[in-house]
Amino acid sequence: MLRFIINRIFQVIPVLLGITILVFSMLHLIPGDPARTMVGIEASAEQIEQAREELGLNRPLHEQFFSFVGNAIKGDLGESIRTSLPVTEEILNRLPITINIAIGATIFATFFGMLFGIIAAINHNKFGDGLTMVISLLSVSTPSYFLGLLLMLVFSLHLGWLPTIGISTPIHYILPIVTLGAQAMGLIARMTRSGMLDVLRQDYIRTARAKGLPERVVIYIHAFKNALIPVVTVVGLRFGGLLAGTVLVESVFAVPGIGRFMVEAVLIRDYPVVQGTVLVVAVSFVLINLLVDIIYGLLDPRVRYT
Amino acid sequence: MTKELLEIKNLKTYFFTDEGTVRAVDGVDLELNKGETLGIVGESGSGKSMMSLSIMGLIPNPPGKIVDGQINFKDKNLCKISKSEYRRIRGNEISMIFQEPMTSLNPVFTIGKQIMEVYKHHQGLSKAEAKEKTIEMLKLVGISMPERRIHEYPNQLSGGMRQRVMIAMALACNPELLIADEPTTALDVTIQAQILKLMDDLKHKLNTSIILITHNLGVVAQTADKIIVMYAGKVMEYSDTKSIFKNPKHPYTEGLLDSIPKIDKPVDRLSAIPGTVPSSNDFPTGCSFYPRCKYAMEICKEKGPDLIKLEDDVQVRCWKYIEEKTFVSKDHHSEKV
Repeated sequence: MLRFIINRIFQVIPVLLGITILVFSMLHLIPGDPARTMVGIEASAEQIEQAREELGLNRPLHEQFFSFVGNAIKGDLGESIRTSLPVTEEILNRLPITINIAIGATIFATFFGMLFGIIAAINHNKFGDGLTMVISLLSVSTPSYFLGLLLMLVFSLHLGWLPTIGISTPIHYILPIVTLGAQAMGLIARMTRSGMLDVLRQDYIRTARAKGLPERVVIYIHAFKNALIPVVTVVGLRFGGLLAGTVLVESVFAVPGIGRFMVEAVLIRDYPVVQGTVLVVAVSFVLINLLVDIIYGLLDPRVRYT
Repeated sequence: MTKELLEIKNLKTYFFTDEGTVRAVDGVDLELNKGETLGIVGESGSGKSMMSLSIMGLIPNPPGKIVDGQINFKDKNLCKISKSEYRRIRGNEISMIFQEPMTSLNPVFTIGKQIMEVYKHHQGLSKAEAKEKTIEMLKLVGISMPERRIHEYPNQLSGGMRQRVMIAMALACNPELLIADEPTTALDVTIQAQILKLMDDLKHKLNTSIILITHNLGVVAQTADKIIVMYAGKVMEYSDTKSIFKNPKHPYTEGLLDSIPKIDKPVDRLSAIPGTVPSSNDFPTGCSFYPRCKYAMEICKEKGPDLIKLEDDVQVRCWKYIEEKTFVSKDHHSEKV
């Protein structure tokens, strides 16, 4: 098992390298001149040249790249053009909020998704199946910005149960979490359902019944652990997606997280911030996938030995 | 006189599908004494697996249902007992091993856990006690280094080993009846012989009765005391093992035996029974075997024959014998069983 984990960690290194190259080239591939943006439209040619010097844009590409990577490893992602504050600091201030929302949404989506999926599978083609599948279909197909506004309208404006925007108290987290997690919940519910239905037809389930095990042991232990395997992949993939999904949700609920920070930076061409946030989100995505693979190995012994 | 362990009377297991009613098991009677081995032989689709699942109470419902008959195990009618009572019997007093050892073990649990579970649920043993018994059981079925093997997953074992694990699991609580549904079909021939020998040895050691289901007459030849030949959900012939091989009565049994190549008579072409088992929702009227039978007569098309007793331990369902009997001795009324 340890060897499997170490192996997987080594496989991550080239991916991370690829990400850094992409993020680095972004600055040079996107139309517009960062130096000009930094100093403003009315700046003189000298001022632009000076800004270019400060950003290191005059140096050869490979030199720029290595200093970018070197700095990034040290945790230095440059300074925001708008605020002149270190990008790392700006990101660290916002990251916890986004991570809280993403984790909250993952827990919400996983818990309710699996619950609905199991209910649906056990009541295959009966009322419980239909009801949970309609809920999951609706949640998969509703765009999050629309769902966010809808929830805000119902729970904040009409019922007055929950606050509308901002993130000052834990209660503020509820609507963003539900909004962000809804799609993943629907997906997980469908995955769990089909996974359980498939597993319940397997020979080893018949064996478990033939051993005289109670039905709850058959379903929640023998079937569930097998059905969990594909679900873990989806949960992991969606968690990465949720980090990106916060862009919309944070904008709808005016949450000062990394997603909104990224959007603002793109709008004003604050390149170091865009680079920094994209890098952080991408690296998190990779690390989460690594974690998923390891959990996969823990769940399914067949993965470990191949 | 040996004591009767299992008695099945007029068992009917039907499947109600959109295409119509499938009579998987259609009025089967059988008896099994303590310590005896009964072979059930038939092609795919003859209803022999459904028969075993009926005894286990594991017919998938819907669409399947036992619509009629009795399954008397010791002093209980299994068709009438509650679900929890059935659970106490399954894996404890009646166990079953299946055809595919590859897929019959849960891939995500160690084999140790899968066997220990049986002890935990039926005998309420602690983890340590269950572990000890599991190791003992694995040793009994001929698995080397059982202390290490219990931590392994099914994918780390060979097919033969897995079937041994299945047998250990089935025999864990020392059941009185073991149902083996094609236990050797998925295994290599050499391993087949080992597994059959193991089952036979354990049967004598533990005094277990066995129902051995197979499509291979060779498999039952050495181990079974009595043999039932099934076709299309019905018993075609019921006989002790010796007479069935020496003197098969039913044309179907004859066909099955003819299709086994003989070592002393080289042939160019293996003989086979023409055609296939009719799909169970369009059985022909009359005898279900007549379209493939080389002795088919007019009456076979019109009316299905009853199972008749020829000798003490030999019963057959064929017009050939009913005609003969009535022809030879008109006063002797053919006995219905």
